[in-house]
Amino acid sequence: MKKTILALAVMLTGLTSAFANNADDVNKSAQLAFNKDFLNAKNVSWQQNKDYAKATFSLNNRVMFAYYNPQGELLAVVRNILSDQLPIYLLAEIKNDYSKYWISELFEMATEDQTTYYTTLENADERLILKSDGSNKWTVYKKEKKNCIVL
Amino acid sequence: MKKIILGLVILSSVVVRANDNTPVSEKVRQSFEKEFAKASNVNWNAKEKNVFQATFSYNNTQVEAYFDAEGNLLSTARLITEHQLPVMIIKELTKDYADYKIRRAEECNSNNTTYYVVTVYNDQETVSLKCFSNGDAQRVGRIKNKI
Repeated sequence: MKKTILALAVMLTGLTSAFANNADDVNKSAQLAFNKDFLNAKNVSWQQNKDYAKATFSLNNRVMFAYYNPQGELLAVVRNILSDQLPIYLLAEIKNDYSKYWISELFEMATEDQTTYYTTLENADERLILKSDGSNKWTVYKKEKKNCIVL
Repeated sequence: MKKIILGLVILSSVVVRANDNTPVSEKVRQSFEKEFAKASNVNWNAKEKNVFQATFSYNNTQVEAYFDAEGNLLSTARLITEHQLPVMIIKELTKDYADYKIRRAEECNSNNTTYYVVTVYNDQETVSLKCFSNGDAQRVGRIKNKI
């Protein structure tokens, strides 16, 4: 449930952070846990929200995001990815079954239990959000028609 | 005379097999094409009894896929880069193997389970790890480097 809320938050607000907080304003438990979890993290900035603290950082030259609850527990690590970073069956399903769509968003959300991928696919008429079910197949998470603008 | 004709028949069947490069049934080939429609440079090999290996290029990576005689996909393996590893594996490797470098990473899938075989090394040793996408890792091999 927490994961679904977090996934929705990521999709609604995007992964880029608009405003960074001063380290003093960020939950200390989250900062301590982060420093243990990501020893080699660089360019770290924080955003404190009501329910979680979000760290934006780079690891091995890739930007990623870690979310911590107020108790300093890691909720998830999230990063934008390219389609070739998907497990092969997920990549093959997109190529086979959704070849008429383009990928407008693709991210990986990992918890200590599992890794889930979310992608937004679009064509001229509709927008699909797919969620991975394991590493072998996608399920449709949301489907919506695009609004037509008549001039 | 009969022997010569039989010899020619066997020879011609070998030549045909070598030329079309598909020592697999239509069923297996169709299953492969359904699964990996955009594959290129496909080569087939008959492995152990009733297991067929396809090696091919897919999305600019080299992949191996194994099928049974009924066309069921048994397993796949492909070489990947460090950046294609799931993020939790990268997190654990940078923590537990901070002074190692990655030599090779492979994504494997069998029985609907995906795992990653990662070989890391430093000055002293080379270690092979079987990793899962949640970051869990088991050592499956270790070799001391020769001085």
